[in-house]
Amino acid sequence: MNKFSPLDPMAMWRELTAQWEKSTNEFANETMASDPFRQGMHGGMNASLTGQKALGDLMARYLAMLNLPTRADIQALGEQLQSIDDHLANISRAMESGRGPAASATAHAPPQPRRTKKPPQAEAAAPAPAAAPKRTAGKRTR
Amino acid sequence: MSAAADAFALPDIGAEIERAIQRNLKGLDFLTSAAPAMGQTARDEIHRRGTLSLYHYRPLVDEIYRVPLLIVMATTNRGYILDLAPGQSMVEHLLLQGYDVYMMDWNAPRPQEKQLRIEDYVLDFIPDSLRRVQARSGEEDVTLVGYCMGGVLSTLYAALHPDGPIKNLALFTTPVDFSRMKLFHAWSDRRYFDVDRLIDTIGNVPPEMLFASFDMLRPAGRSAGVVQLWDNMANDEFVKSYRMFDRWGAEMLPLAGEYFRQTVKELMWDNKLFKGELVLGGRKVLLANIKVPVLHALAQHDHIVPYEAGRPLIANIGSTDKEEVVLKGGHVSLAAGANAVRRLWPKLDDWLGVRST
Repeated sequence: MNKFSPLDPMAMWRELTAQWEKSTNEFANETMASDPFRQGMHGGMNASLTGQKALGDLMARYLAMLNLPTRADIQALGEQLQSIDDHLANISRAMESGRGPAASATAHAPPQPRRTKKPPQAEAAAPAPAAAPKRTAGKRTR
Repeated sequence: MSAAADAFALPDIGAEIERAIQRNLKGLDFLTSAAPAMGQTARDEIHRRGTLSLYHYRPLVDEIYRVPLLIVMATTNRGYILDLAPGQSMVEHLLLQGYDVYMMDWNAPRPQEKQLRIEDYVLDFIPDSLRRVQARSGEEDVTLVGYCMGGVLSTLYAALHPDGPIKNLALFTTPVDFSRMKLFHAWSDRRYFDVDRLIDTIGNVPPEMLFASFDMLRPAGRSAGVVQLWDNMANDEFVKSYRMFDRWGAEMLPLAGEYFRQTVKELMWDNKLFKGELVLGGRKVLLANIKVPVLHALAQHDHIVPYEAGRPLIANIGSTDKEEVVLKGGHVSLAAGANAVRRLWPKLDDWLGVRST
Protein backbone atom coordinates (compact mmCIF):
# COMPACT_ATOMS: atom_id res chain seq x y z
CA MET A 1 0.00 0.00 0.00
CA ASN A 2 1.29 3.46 -0.82
CA LYS A 3 2.26 5.51 2.18
CA PHE A 4 1.83 8.89 0.55
CA SER A 5 -1.23 11.05 0.22
CA PRO A 6 -2.56 11.23 -3.37
CA LEU A 7 -3.09 14.92 -2.73
CA ASP A 8 0.58 15.54 -1.99
CA PRO A 9 2.33 16.10 -5.35
CA MET A 10 5.85 15.92 -3.89
CA ALA A 11 5.23 12.57 -2.25
CA MET A 12 3.77 11.27 -5.51
CA TRP A 13 6.79 12.58 -7.39
CA ARG A 14 9.15 10.78 -5.01
CA GLU A 15 7.25 7.54 -5.37
CA LEU A 16 7.20 7.83 -9.15
CA THR A 17 10.93 8.54 -9.25
CA ALA A 18 11.68 5.50 -7.11
CA GLN A 19 9.52 3.30 -9.31
CA TRP A 20 11.04 4.69 -12.50
CA GLU A 21 14.55 4.06 -11.18
CA LYS A 22 13.74 0.48 -10.19
CA SER A 23 12.03 -0.45 -13.43
CA THR A 24 14.62 1.28 -15.64
CA ASN A 25 17.49 -0.45 -13.86
CA GLU A 26 15.79 -3.83 -14.13
CA PHE A 27 15.02 -3.39 -17.80
CA ALA A 28 18.51 -2.08 -18.60
CA ASN A 29 20.22 -4.86 -16.66
CA GLU A 30 18.25 -7.45 -18.56
CA THR A 31 19.04 -5.81 -21.88
CA MET A 32 22.72 -5.35 -21.11
CA ALA A 33 23.12 -8.99 -20.14
CA SER A 34 21.80 -10.10 -23.52
CA ASP A 35 24.02 -11.58 -26.20
CA PRO A 36 23.36 -8.90 -28.86
CA PHE A 37 24.26 -6.15 -26.40
CA ARG A 38 27.57 -7.80 -25.45
CA GLN A 39 28.41 -8.34 -29.08
CA GLY A 40 27.55 -4.76 -30.02
CA MET A 41 29.39 -3.24 -27.07
CA HIS A 42 32.61 -5.10 -27.75
CA GLY A 43 32.27 -4.67 -31.51
CA GLY A 44 32.23 -0.92 -30.95
CA MET A 45 35.15 -1.09 -28.55
CA ASN A 46 37.25 -3.19 -30.91
CA ALA A 47 36.60 -0.77 -33.78
CA SER A 48 37.61 2.13 -31.56
CA LEU A 49 40.80 0.33 -30.46
CA THR A 50 41.72 -0.44 -34.05
CA GLY A 51 41.28 3.21 -35.00
CA GLN A 52 43.21 4.36 -31.93
CA LYS A 53 46.13 2.06 -32.69
CA ALA A 54 46.26 3.03 -36.35
CA LEU A 55 46.19 6.72 -35.49
CA GLY A 56 48.83 6.27 -32.78
CA ASP A 57 51.18 4.44 -35.17
CA LEU A 58 50.65 7.05 -37.85
CA MET A 59 51.32 9.93 -35.46
CA ALA A 60 54.44 8.23 -34.11
CA ARG A 61 55.85 7.88 -37.64
CA TYR A 62 54.93 11.47 -38.47
CA LEU A 63 56.56 12.85 -35.31
CA ALA A 64 59.68 10.75 -35.85
CA MET A 65 59.90 12.13 -39.38
CA LEU A 66 59.72 15.68 -38.01
CA ASN A 67 62.31 14.78 -35.37
CA LEU A 68 59.83 15.52 -32.58
CA PRO A 69 59.32 13.42 -29.44
CA THR A 70 56.49 10.93 -29.54
CA ARG A 71 54.01 10.20 -26.74
CA ALA A 72 56.16 7.26 -25.68
CA ASP A 73 59.25 9.52 -25.46
CA ILE A 74 57.38 12.03 -23.29
CA GLN A 75 56.09 9.23 -21.08
CA ALA A 76 59.61 7.89 -20.65
CA LEU A 77 60.83 11.35 -19.66
CA GLY A 78 57.94 11.68 -17.22
CA GLU A 79 58.84 8.34 -15.68
CA GLN A 80 62.43 9.45 -15.17
CA LEU A 81 61.31 12.67 -13.51
CA GLN A 82 58.92 10.72 -11.32
CA SER A 83 61.69 8.37 -10.36
CA ILE A 84 63.90 11.31 -9.31
CA ASP A 85 60.99 12.74 -7.37
CA ASP A 86 60.51 9.40 -5.57
CA HIS A 87 64.18 9.27 -4.64
CA LEU A 88 64.05 12.80 -3.25
CA ALA A 89 60.95 11.94 -1.22
CA ASN A 90 62.66 8.83 0.17
CA ILE A 91 65.76 10.83 1.09
CA SER A 92 63.60 13.45 2.74
CA ARG A 93 61.71 10.81 4.75
CA ALA A 94 64.96 9.11 5.75
CA MET A 95 66.36 12.43 6.96
CA GLU A 96 63.17 13.14 8.92
CA SER A 97 63.26 9.78 10.66
CA GLY A 98 67.03 10.06 11.27
CA ARG A 99 66.76 13.30 13.21
CA GLY A 100 67.61 13.27 16.92
CA PRO A 101 65.08 13.33 19.75
CA ALA A 102 65.34 17.10 20.07
CA ALA A 103 64.41 17.59 16.46
CA SER A 104 61.66 15.00 16.73
CA ALA A 105 60.15 16.80 19.67
CA THR A 106 59.69 19.90 17.60
CA ALA A 107 58.13 17.94 14.77
CA HIS A 108 54.43 17.10 14.72
CA ALA A 109 54.88 13.47 15.84
CA PRO A 110 52.67 12.85 18.87
CA PRO A 111 53.86 10.83 21.88
CA GLN A 112 53.55 7.08 21.39
CA PRO A 113 50.38 5.70 22.98
CA ARG A 114 50.49 2.65 25.25
CA ARG A 115 49.55 -0.60 23.50
CA THR A 116 47.70 -1.95 26.49
CA LYS A 117 44.08 -1.37 25.63
CA LYS A 118 41.63 -4.16 26.40
CA PRO A 119 38.20 -4.53 24.87
CA PRO A 120 35.42 -3.06 27.04
CA GLN A 121 34.02 -6.53 27.79
CA ALA A 122 37.37 -7.71 29.19
CA GLU A 123 37.81 -4.54 31.22
CA ALA A 124 34.38 -4.94 32.75
CA ALA A 125 35.07 -8.58 33.64
CA ALA A 126 38.58 -8.04 35.04
CA PRO A 127 39.14 -7.50 38.80
CA ALA A 128 39.79 -3.91 39.84
CA PRO A 129 43.62 -3.99 40.18
CA ALA A 130 44.05 -5.56 36.77
CA ALA A 131 41.68 -3.17 35.06
CA ALA A 132 44.39 -0.68 34.13
CA PRO A 133 47.65 -2.57 33.70
CA LYS A 134 50.79 -0.45 33.41
CA ARG A 135 52.94 -1.81 30.64
CA THR A 136 55.55 -0.24 28.49
CA ALA A 137 54.68 0.53 24.90
CA GLY A 138 55.25 -2.26 22.45
CA LYS A 139 54.99 -5.11 24.95
CA ARG A 140 52.50 -7.84 24.35
CA THR A 141 49.62 -8.14 26.70
CA ARG A 142 48.65 -11.68 25.81
CA MET B 1 -5.96 8.93 12.54
CA SER B 2 -6.81 5.88 10.41
CA ALA B 3 -4.69 4.77 7.46
CA ALA B 4 -7.44 5.72 5.04
CA ALA B 5 -7.69 9.19 6.48
CA ASP B 6 -3.88 9.47 6.33
CA ALA B 7 -3.90 8.67 2.64
CA PHE B 8 -6.22 11.53 1.85
CA ALA B 9 -4.74 14.07 4.26
CA LEU B 10 -4.07 17.41 2.63
CA PRO B 11 -0.40 18.29 2.42
CA ASP B 12 0.83 21.27 4.37
CA ILE B 13 0.91 23.80 1.51
CA GLY B 14 2.76 26.40 3.55
CA ALA B 15 5.50 23.95 4.47
CA GLU B 16 5.84 22.85 0.83
CA ILE B 17 6.22 26.47 -0.33
CA GLU B 18 8.81 27.06 2.38
CA ARG B 19 10.67 23.95 1.27
CA ALA B 20 10.57 25.09 -2.36
CA ILE B 21 12.06 28.47 -1.45
CA GLN B 22 14.74 26.85 0.67
CA ARG B 23 15.48 24.38 -2.11
CA ASN B 24 16.10 27.17 -4.59
CA LEU B 25 18.25 29.18 -2.20
CA LYS B 26 20.29 26.14 -1.23
CA GLY B 27 20.48 25.12 -4.87
CA LEU B 28 22.27 28.37 -5.66
CA ASP B 29 24.61 27.73 -2.76
CA PHE B 30 25.23 24.19 -4.06
CA LEU B 31 26.24 25.47 -7.47
CA THR B 32 28.59 28.14 -6.16
CA SER B 33 30.27 26.45 -3.20
CA ALA B 34 33.18 24.02 -3.20
CA ALA B 35 32.74 20.34 -2.36
CA PRO B 36 33.33 19.49 1.31
CA ALA B 37 36.86 18.50 2.28
CA MET B 38 37.45 14.78 2.74
CA GLY B 39 40.20 12.59 4.15
CA GLN B 40 40.91 15.07 6.94
CA THR B 41 42.17 12.70 9.65
CA ALA B 42 45.83 13.46 10.40
CA ARG B 43 48.16 10.91 8.85
CA ASP B 44 51.73 10.43 7.68
CA GLU B 45 52.73 8.88 4.39
CA ILE B 46 55.39 6.50 5.65
CA HIS B 47 56.15 4.90 2.31
CA ARG B 48 55.43 5.52 -1.33
CA ARG B 49 56.38 3.38 -4.27
CA GLY B 50 54.69 4.05 -7.57
CA THR B 51 51.01 3.22 -7.26
CA LEU B 52 51.31 2.36 -3.55
CA SER B 53 51.10 4.85 -0.70
CA LEU B 54 51.28 3.54 2.85
CA TYR B 55 49.76 5.84 5.44
CA HIS B 56 49.86 5.78 9.21
CA TYR B 57 47.01 7.63 10.91
CA ARG B 58 48.03 9.48 14.02
CA PRO B 59 46.52 7.97 17.16
CA LEU B 60 43.76 10.00 18.82
CA VAL B 61 43.86 8.31 22.23
CA ASP B 62 46.56 7.57 24.79
CA GLU B 63 45.98 3.85 25.03
CA ILE B 64 45.60 1.64 21.99
CA TYR B 65 45.19 -2.05 21.21
CA ARG B 66 48.38 -4.02 20.77
CA VAL B 67 47.67 -5.26 17.23
CA PRO B 68 47.79 -2.63 14.48
CA LEU B 69 45.31 -2.64 11.57
CA LEU B 70 46.42 -2.45 7.97
CA ILE B 71 43.59 -1.50 5.62
CA VAL B 72 44.00 -2.59 2.00
CA MET B 73 41.92 -0.27 -0.14
CA ALA B 74 40.20 -1.34 -3.35
CA THR B 75 42.46 -0.74 -6.34
CA THR B 76 39.83 1.16 -8.29
CA ASN B 77 39.10 3.90 -5.75
CA ARG B 78 40.64 6.37 -3.35
CA GLY B 79 40.89 5.41 0.30
CA TYR B 80 39.22 8.54 1.60
CA ILE B 81 35.84 6.80 1.34
CA LEU B 82 36.83 5.33 4.70
CA ASP B 83 37.72 8.78 6.00
CA LEU B 84 34.94 10.97 4.60
CA ALA B 85 34.50 13.67 7.25
CA PRO B 86 34.73 14.01 11.02
CA GLY B 87 31.90 11.94 12.48
CA GLN B 88 31.52 10.04 9.20
CA SER B 89 34.97 8.52 9.06
CA MET B 90 35.59 4.85 9.70
CA VAL B 91 39.26 5.59 10.22
CA GLU B 92 38.48 8.26 12.81
CA HIS B 93 36.05 5.89 14.53
CA LEU B 94 38.67 3.15 14.72
CA LEU B 95 41.28 5.60 16.05
CA LEU B 96 38.87 6.80 18.74
CA GLN B 97 38.13 3.20 19.72
CA GLY B 98 41.85 2.68 20.27
CA TYR B 99 43.16 1.06 17.11
CA ASP B 100 46.48 1.81 15.46
CA VAL B 101 45.45 2.32 11.83
CA TYR B 102 47.52 2.05 8.65
CA MET B 103 46.22 2.15 5.10
CA MET B 104 47.52 0.92 1.77
CA ASP B 105 46.04 3.49 -0.58
CA TRP B 106 46.59 3.60 -4.30
CA ASN B 107 47.76 6.32 -6.68
CA ALA B 108 47.05 6.21 -10.38
CA PRO B 109 49.48 3.64 -11.80
CA ARG B 110 52.05 5.25 -14.07
CA PRO B 111 52.29 4.22 -17.71
CA GLN B 112 55.29 2.01 -16.94
CA GLU B 113 53.37 0.30 -14.16
CA LYS B 114 51.12 -1.32 -16.73
CA GLN B 115 53.23 -4.43 -16.14
CA LEU B 116 52.02 -4.82 -12.56
CA ARG B 117 50.29 -8.13 -11.98
CA ILE B 118 48.21 -9.49 -9.12
CA GLU B 119 51.44 -11.08 -7.86
CA ASP B 120 52.98 -7.62 -7.46
CA TYR B 121 50.16 -6.58 -5.17
CA VAL B 122 49.92 -9.83 -3.21
CA LEU B 123 53.55 -10.90 -3.02
CA ASP B 124 55.26 -7.51 -2.97
CA PHE B 125 53.11 -4.52 -1.97
CA ILE B 126 51.24 -6.24 0.89
CA PRO B 127 54.23 -8.01 2.50
CA ASP B 128 56.35 -4.87 2.06
CA SER B 129 53.67 -2.79 3.80
CA LEU B 130 53.25 -5.39 6.54
CA ARG B 131 57.00 -5.27 7.25
CA ARG B 132 56.85 -1.50 7.52
CA VAL B 133 53.84 -1.64 9.84
CA GLN B 134 55.64 -4.19 12.01
CA ALA B 135 58.77 -2.04 12.15
CA ARG B 136 56.89 1.15 12.97
CA SER B 137 54.56 -0.37 15.55
CA GLY B 138 57.08 -2.76 17.10
CA GLU B 139 54.47 -5.50 16.88
CA GLU B 140 54.77 -8.77 15.05
CA ASP B 141 51.03 -9.38 14.60
CA VAL B 142 48.97 -7.29 12.22
CA THR B 143 45.27 -7.39 11.34
CA LEU B 144 44.48 -7.04 7.63
CA VAL B 145 41.29 -5.23 6.68
CA GLY B 146 40.35 -5.43 2.99
CA TYR B 147 37.63 -3.64 1.07
CA CYS B 148 36.27 -5.04 -2.22
CA MET B 149 39.27 -5.87 -4.46
CA GLY B 150 41.44 -4.91 -1.50
CA GLY B 151 39.65 -7.75 0.24
CA VAL B 152 40.47 -10.11 -2.62
CA LEU B 153 44.15 -9.15 -2.45
CA SER B 154 44.14 -9.59 1.35
CA THR B 155 42.47 -12.99 0.98
CA LEU B 156 45.04 -14.10 -1.59
CA TYR B 157 47.85 -12.97 0.70
CA ALA B 158 46.35 -14.73 3.73
CA ALA B 159 45.90 -17.95 1.75
CA LEU B 160 49.53 -17.90 0.64
CA HIS B 161 50.92 -16.99 4.07
CA PRO B 162 49.22 -19.24 6.61
CA ASP B 163 52.17 -18.87 8.99
CA GLY B 164 51.70 -15.18 9.57
CA PRO B 165 52.09 -12.40 10.38
CA ILE B 166 48.35 -11.82 9.94
CA LYS B 167 46.49 -12.18 13.22
CA ASN B 168 42.99 -11.44 11.95
CA LEU B 169 41.38 -10.85 8.58
CA ALA B 170 38.40 -8.51 8.26
CA LEU B 171 36.86 -8.25 4.81
CA PHE B 172 34.14 -6.09 3.35
CA THR B 173 32.23 -7.05 0.19
CA THR B 174 34.90 -9.42 -1.08
CA PRO B 175 33.97 -11.50 -4.13
CA VAL B 176 35.21 -15.09 -4.42
CA ASP B 177 32.85 -16.62 -6.96
CA PHE B 178 33.24 -14.23 -9.86
CA SER B 179 30.70 -16.10 -11.99
CA ARG B 180 28.02 -14.70 -9.68
CA MET B 181 28.86 -11.09 -10.57
CA LYS B 182 26.32 -11.38 -13.32
CA LEU B 183 26.67 -8.21 -15.35
CA PHE B 184 30.44 -7.95 -15.10
CA HIS B 185 30.60 -11.59 -16.08
CA ALA B 186 28.33 -10.97 -19.05
CA TRP B 187 30.25 -7.91 -20.20
CA SER B 188 33.56 -9.71 -20.06
CA ASP B 189 32.22 -12.57 -22.20
CA ARG B 190 35.32 -14.15 -23.73
CA ARG B 191 33.59 -14.66 -27.05
CA TYR B 192 33.40 -10.90 -27.60
CA PHE B 193 35.71 -9.15 -25.13
CA ASP B 194 39.22 -9.01 -26.58
CA VAL B 195 41.03 -8.07 -23.38
CA ASP B 196 44.45 -8.65 -24.96
CA ARG B 197 43.74 -6.16 -27.69
CA LEU B 198 42.47 -3.64 -25.13
CA ILE B 199 45.50 -3.85 -22.85
CA ASP B 200 48.03 -4.11 -25.68
CA THR B 201 46.58 -0.92 -27.19
CA ILE B 202 45.94 1.30 -24.19
CA GLY B 203 48.25 -0.03 -21.46
CA ASN B 204 46.54 0.93 -18.22
CA VAL B 205 42.74 0.84 -18.17
CA PRO B 206 41.48 4.44 -18.02
CA PRO B 207 39.25 5.47 -15.11
CA GLU B 208 36.55 6.73 -17.48
CA MET B 209 36.06 3.21 -18.78
CA LEU B 210 35.84 1.78 -15.27
CA PHE B 211 33.50 4.56 -14.18
CA ALA B 212 31.22 3.87 -17.13
CA SER B 213 31.16 0.15 -16.30
CA PHE B 214 30.17 0.77 -12.67
CA ASP B 215 27.63 3.39 -13.74
CA MET B 216 26.05 0.98 -16.22
CA LEU B 217 25.23 -1.43 -13.41
CA ARG B 218 22.52 1.02 -12.37
CA PRO B 219 21.93 3.23 -15.37
CA ALA B 220 19.07 5.16 -13.78
CA GLY B 221 20.86 5.60 -10.48
CA ARG B 222 22.61 8.85 -11.35
CA SER B 223 19.48 10.59 -12.67
CA ALA B 224 17.40 9.39 -9.73
CA GLY B 225 20.17 10.61 -7.42
CA VAL B 226 19.99 14.10 -8.92
CA VAL B 227 16.21 14.15 -8.46
CA GLN B 228 16.67 13.07 -4.84
CA LEU B 229 19.29 15.76 -4.39
CA TRP B 230 16.93 18.42 -5.71
CA ASP B 231 14.17 17.17 -3.43
CA ASN B 232 16.49 17.27 -0.40
CA MET B 233 18.33 20.46 -1.32
CA ALA B 234 17.19 22.13 1.91
CA ASN B 235 18.70 19.33 3.97
CA ASP B 236 22.32 20.33 4.53
CA GLU B 237 23.40 16.93 5.81
CA PHE B 238 21.91 15.16 2.79
CA VAL B 239 23.57 17.58 0.37
CA LYS B 240 26.94 17.27 2.09
CA SER B 241 26.73 13.49 2.04
CA TYR B 242 25.62 13.46 -1.61
CA ARG B 243 28.54 15.65 -2.65
CA MET B 244 31.07 13.55 -0.81
CA PHE B 245 29.86 10.25 -2.27
CA ASP B 246 29.42 11.76 -5.73
CA ARG B 247 32.92 13.16 -5.81
CA TRP B 248 34.45 9.96 -4.50
CA GLY B 249 32.52 7.85 -7.00
CA ALA B 250 33.65 10.00 -9.89
CA GLU B 251 37.29 9.98 -8.83
CA MET B 252 38.19 6.50 -9.96
CA LEU B 253 41.71 5.28 -10.54
CA PRO B 254 43.12 3.67 -13.67
CA LEU B 255 43.97 0.00 -13.33
CA ALA B 256 47.35 -1.46 -14.22
CA GLY B 257 46.96 -3.21 -17.57
CA GLU B 258 48.37 -6.63 -16.69
CA TYR B 259 46.48 -6.66 -13.39
CA PHE B 260 43.26 -6.01 -15.29
CA ARG B 261 44.06 -8.64 -17.93
CA GLN B 262 44.79 -11.20 -15.23
CA THR B 263 41.63 -10.29 -13.28
CA VAL B 264 39.50 -10.76 -16.39
CA LYS B 265 41.14 -13.97 -17.56
CA GLU B 266 41.86 -15.79 -14.34
CA LEU B 267 39.19 -14.52 -11.98
CA MET B 268 36.31 -13.55 -14.25
CA TRP B 269 36.66 -16.03 -17.12
CA ASP B 270 38.12 -19.06 -15.38
CA ASN B 271 36.89 -18.30 -11.82
CA LYS B 272 40.17 -19.76 -10.58
CA LEU B 273 40.00 -18.40 -7.04
CA PHE B 274 36.69 -20.11 -6.41
CA LYS B 275 37.82 -23.33 -8.08
CA GLY B 276 41.12 -23.42 -6.18
CA GLU B 277 43.13 -23.24 -9.40
CA LEU B 278 44.71 -19.81 -9.05
CA VAL B 279 48.50 -19.90 -8.97
CA LEU B 280 50.53 -16.90 -7.81
CA GLY B 281 54.31 -16.94 -7.62
CA GLY B 282 54.31 -20.67 -8.35
CA ARG B 283 52.01 -21.46 -5.42
CA LYS B 284 48.38 -22.49 -5.55
CA VAL B 285 45.98 -20.21 -3.71
CA LEU B 286 43.79 -22.37 -1.53
CA LEU B 287 41.19 -20.69 0.65
CA ALA B 288 41.35 -23.64 3.03
CA ASN B 289 44.85 -22.48 3.99
CA ILE B 290 43.38 -19.45 5.75
CA LYS B 291 43.30 -20.34 9.42
CA VAL B 292 43.21 -16.96 11.15
CA PRO B 293 39.98 -15.45 12.53
CA VAL B 294 37.96 -13.99 9.66
CA LEU B 295 35.04 -11.57 9.57
CA HIS B 296 33.31 -11.05 6.23
CA ALA B 297 30.78 -8.23 6.00
CA LEU B 298 28.49 -8.24 2.97
CA ALA B 299 25.77 -5.81 1.95
CA GLN B 300 22.18 -6.87 1.40
CA HIS B 301 21.69 -4.61 -1.63
CA ASP B 302 25.17 -4.73 -3.15
CA HIS B 303 24.85 -4.29 -6.93
CA ILE B 304 28.61 -4.59 -7.51
CA VAL B 305 29.47 -7.63 -5.41
CA PRO B 306 26.18 -9.52 -4.97
CA TYR B 307 25.83 -11.65 -1.87
CA GLU B 308 26.18 -14.86 -3.91
CA ALA B 309 29.62 -13.75 -5.13
CA GLY B 310 30.96 -13.27 -1.61
CA ARG B 311 29.13 -16.03 0.22
CA PRO B 312 31.56 -18.91 -0.58
CA LEU B 313 34.41 -17.22 1.25
CA ILE B 314 33.44 -18.18 4.78
CA ALA B 315 32.34 -21.63 3.67
CA ASN B 316 35.68 -22.42 2.03
CA ILE B 317 38.30 -21.04 4.40
CA GLY B 318 39.94 -23.25 7.00
CA SER B 319 39.45 -20.94 9.98
CA THR B 320 37.45 -22.17 12.93
CA ASP B 321 36.85 -18.63 14.19
CA LYS B 322 34.93 -17.17 11.26
CA GLU B 323 31.83 -15.08 10.85
CA GLU B 324 29.77 -13.68 8.00
CA VAL B 325 27.48 -10.74 8.54
CA VAL B 326 25.01 -9.44 5.99
CA LEU B 327 24.09 -5.87 6.76
CA LYS B 328 21.54 -3.54 5.26
CA GLY B 329 22.96 -1.20 2.66
CA GLY B 330 24.82 -1.18 -0.63
CA HIS B 331 28.40 -1.71 -1.71
CA VAL B 332 29.58 1.68 -0.50
CA SER B 333 27.04 2.51 2.19
CA LEU B 334 28.08 -0.68 3.97
CA ALA B 335 31.42 0.90 4.83
CA ALA B 336 30.78 4.65 4.73
CA GLY B 337 28.06 7.09 5.64
CA ALA B 338 25.23 7.10 8.16
CA ASN B 339 24.29 3.46 7.51
CA ALA B 340 27.82 2.28 8.29
CA VAL B 341 28.01 4.34 11.49
CA ARG B 342 25.07 2.40 12.90
CA ARG B 343 25.78 -1.03 11.48
CA LEU B 344 29.25 -2.01 10.29
CA TRP B 345 31.45 0.11 12.53
CA PRO B 346 30.10 -1.12 15.87
CA LYS B 347 30.19 -4.71 14.57
CA LEU B 348 33.77 -4.30 13.39
CA ASP B 349 34.81 -2.78 16.69
CA ASP B 350 33.18 -5.59 18.69
CA TRP B 351 34.81 -8.22 16.52
CA LEU B 352 38.26 -6.66 16.37
CA GLY B 353 38.48 -5.52 19.99
CA VAL B 354 38.63 -8.98 21.54
CA ARG B 355 41.08 -10.13 18.89
CA SER B 356 43.48 -7.19 19.03
CA THR B 357 45.10 -7.68 22.44
